[in-house]
Formats: sequence, C-alpha cells, structure tokens
Amino acid sequence: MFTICHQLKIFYSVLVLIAVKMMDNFSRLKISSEFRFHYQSVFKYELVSLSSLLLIGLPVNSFAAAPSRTCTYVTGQVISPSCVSENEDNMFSYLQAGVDTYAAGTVNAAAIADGSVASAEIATNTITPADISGSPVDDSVFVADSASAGTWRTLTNCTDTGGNHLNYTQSTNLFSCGTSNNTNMFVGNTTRDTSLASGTQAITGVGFTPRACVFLAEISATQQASWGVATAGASNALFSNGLSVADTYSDDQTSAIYLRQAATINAYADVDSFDSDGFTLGWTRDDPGKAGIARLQYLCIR
Amino acid sequence: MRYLWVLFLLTLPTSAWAARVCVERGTGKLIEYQSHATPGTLLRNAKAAGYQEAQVEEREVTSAEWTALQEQWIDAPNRAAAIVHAAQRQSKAAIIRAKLGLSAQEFEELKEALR
Repeated sequence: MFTICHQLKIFYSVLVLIAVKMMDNFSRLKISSEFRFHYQSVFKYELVSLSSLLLIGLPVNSFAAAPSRTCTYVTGQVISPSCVSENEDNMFSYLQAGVDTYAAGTVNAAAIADGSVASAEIATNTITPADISGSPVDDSVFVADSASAGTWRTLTNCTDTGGNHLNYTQSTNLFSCGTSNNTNMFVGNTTRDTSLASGTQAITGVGFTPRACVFLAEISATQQASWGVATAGASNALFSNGLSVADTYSDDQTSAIYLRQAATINAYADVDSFDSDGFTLGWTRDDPGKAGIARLQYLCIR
Repeated sequence: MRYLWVLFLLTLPTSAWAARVCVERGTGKLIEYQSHATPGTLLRNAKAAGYQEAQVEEREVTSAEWTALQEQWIDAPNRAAAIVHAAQRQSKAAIIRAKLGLSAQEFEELKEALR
C-alpha cells in the first residue's frame, strides 16, 4: 500500500537530488562577490523545482498524524536497518509537524518562561477558573489596579456576618454586597394627604438602611409637582411654582418634597431619619387650606 | 395534602403584592397608601397624624383595588376640584375684564403681557 510514509520518502529523495545538483552547479561556477544569483539561468530550473516541491510538500507536512510503529521488533530476531529507519521516519515526520497536545502534568509552571505565551495564543475558554493559580477566596474579586498587575482582593466590608455575600448579576453588570442580589436600590410608592397637619410619615419595607433617596411627587389635575433628593446631610427639591407665579419652577434646599398650592399654602417634607427598613419623612403644612392627596414615588439607594 | 398545595399557591400572589392602605372606618376615605410597607406602619402614621386607632383601618390591597381607590379618592376629586377652580378663574376674569372695559382679545393680550 502506498502510504504517506512512502510519499514522504519519495518527496525527500527528489528534494535531496535537486539540492545536490544545485550545490554542484553553484560550486563549479566559482561565484565572485559581484555574482548576481538570480541572473544565472542555470539555477532557475533548480530554484523553481525546489520552491514548487516545498510548496507541494507543505500540506503533507502539516498533516500531523500520531506516530506509529511501521516495523515491530521481535525478541531474538535480527533487526533490519530499513525497519529502524522507517520507525524513525515516522517519529521524525510527526515531530516536524509539531506536537499539539501535552499530557496532563507534563508541563509545570517552571517550564513556562515569563512572556513565552502571549494572550493572543490562548483561545477563548481555554482557561477555566480551576486553572488559575490560587483558589478564589470567598467574597473576593480578581482585579488589576494601580497597586497590582492582578490579584485576589477581598471586600473587607462585605463579610459573611449576617449572611452577607459579594454578589454579581451578569444581566445588569452590577456587584452588590448583601444576602441577595440587587439589594442596592429600592423603588416604592406611597401617598400623603397634604391636608393633614404637620407630622411624621414612616415608610417601611425598603429592606435596608438607605443612604440617599430620590423623590417624585405630584397631585393629579393640578400644577403641583416636585422632584427632590435627600441624603443624611442635605436635601433639595425642585418644584412647580405655577400656582404662585404662572409657568415657573422653584426650589427649596431644605426639603426633599415640596408641593405648592399657592404662594403661602404649601406642604413640604424632608427626611427626618434613614431607618433600618426605610425612612421617616417630616411633613410641614404651612396653611390649613392645603388640600389634595399627593402620590409619591421614591428610589432609595443603599 | 392537595388542598395545602392549593392554599400555598393562592398565598403566593398575596406575598408578591404587599401594598397596604389605611382608610377611615365608615367612610372608607383614603388616608395613606404604601407599596411595600410592613404591617402596622400605616396605623402608626395615622395615629401620628391625629387619628384615633378606632377610627382607621389598615389592610392589604390588590392592584385592582388600589386602582379603584386612587380613582375614587385621588383622581376624581382632583379633576372635580380642577373644574371648579377653572370655573372660578373664568368668573373672576370676566368680572375684571368688564371693569377694565376690554374686549376678549385685548384681555388675552393683557394676560399674555403680564405673564
């Protein structure tokens, strides 16, 4: 049977013959320093032949079949030299194509020099978390920052005390620290009867102690509307002033919510306290003539 | 056992929608609504606003119930008040225009100039 091995043998034989002939011609011409190699027609045939054979041979060489033993040796029997060379040829051709698989444990860290493997040479999904040196620590992330080229850093303020964990939600690309995902924000609704006298209104069910809240408020079918924010130290509300001066807005830097019914008839609120499960609004009604139930939306940030 | 499962499934939507309202007993007037309040919060708020505990009632509401309550106690009264307010303004404007002796066009131009 005419195998790849036989094909390679013929190919290399022809290659050697052409090379020898070429070297012979070369030596006979006694080349000087001014010699222009490509002007000599005598070499053109050999060059073209050599190049063609190399190109034809390339696909053959890149076909890296696993090495196989063509001849087997039997105890007590004389080994034929041709058998030895055939086996060697098999191994030679296989190694020439390159070894593309390493058995587990054959390459250790010391055998890979720094910079010897570029990132472009590592295909996607080649490396799994289990392959990374150093086990991932609970509640930690692998980061490269100004202080490090890349290391595991633990979020010290996200300990497991109280069931906390470092969470990551792929769909929103958000990290959070807590007992469940996405506990950094909360949106809720409430109402306030602005005809009520000044007093407090506790909002609960938020699930954490907010650090800041955003408020949207309105009384339907009127020009009373408010957009405000509040933190522990500051608050500010922009509000419609249309029922006092037509087509105008105003602001109040001590309130998070401000609903103006007339110049001196208002209901406004600031956050009195941020509580463990929400917050408490402190309402002021500056005139008994204030009326209407306001709808409020709040966004709390942990 | 089958009935326990049914009961469990029926309680699921209730848990997911934890909106609560506080209303006046007798009239049903809306005092407060909260979308996620823990039980008792609205009662405490009502008492802080001056209501007696016997006067008010706190309870959970479904989305549909809340929509109906909004219409009854917020949107419909506000629309009615807005109509009344607009009528009062038009009435006052007519009296002022008559006193000034302006035509409707002139009065509109005056209002625009004063804006």
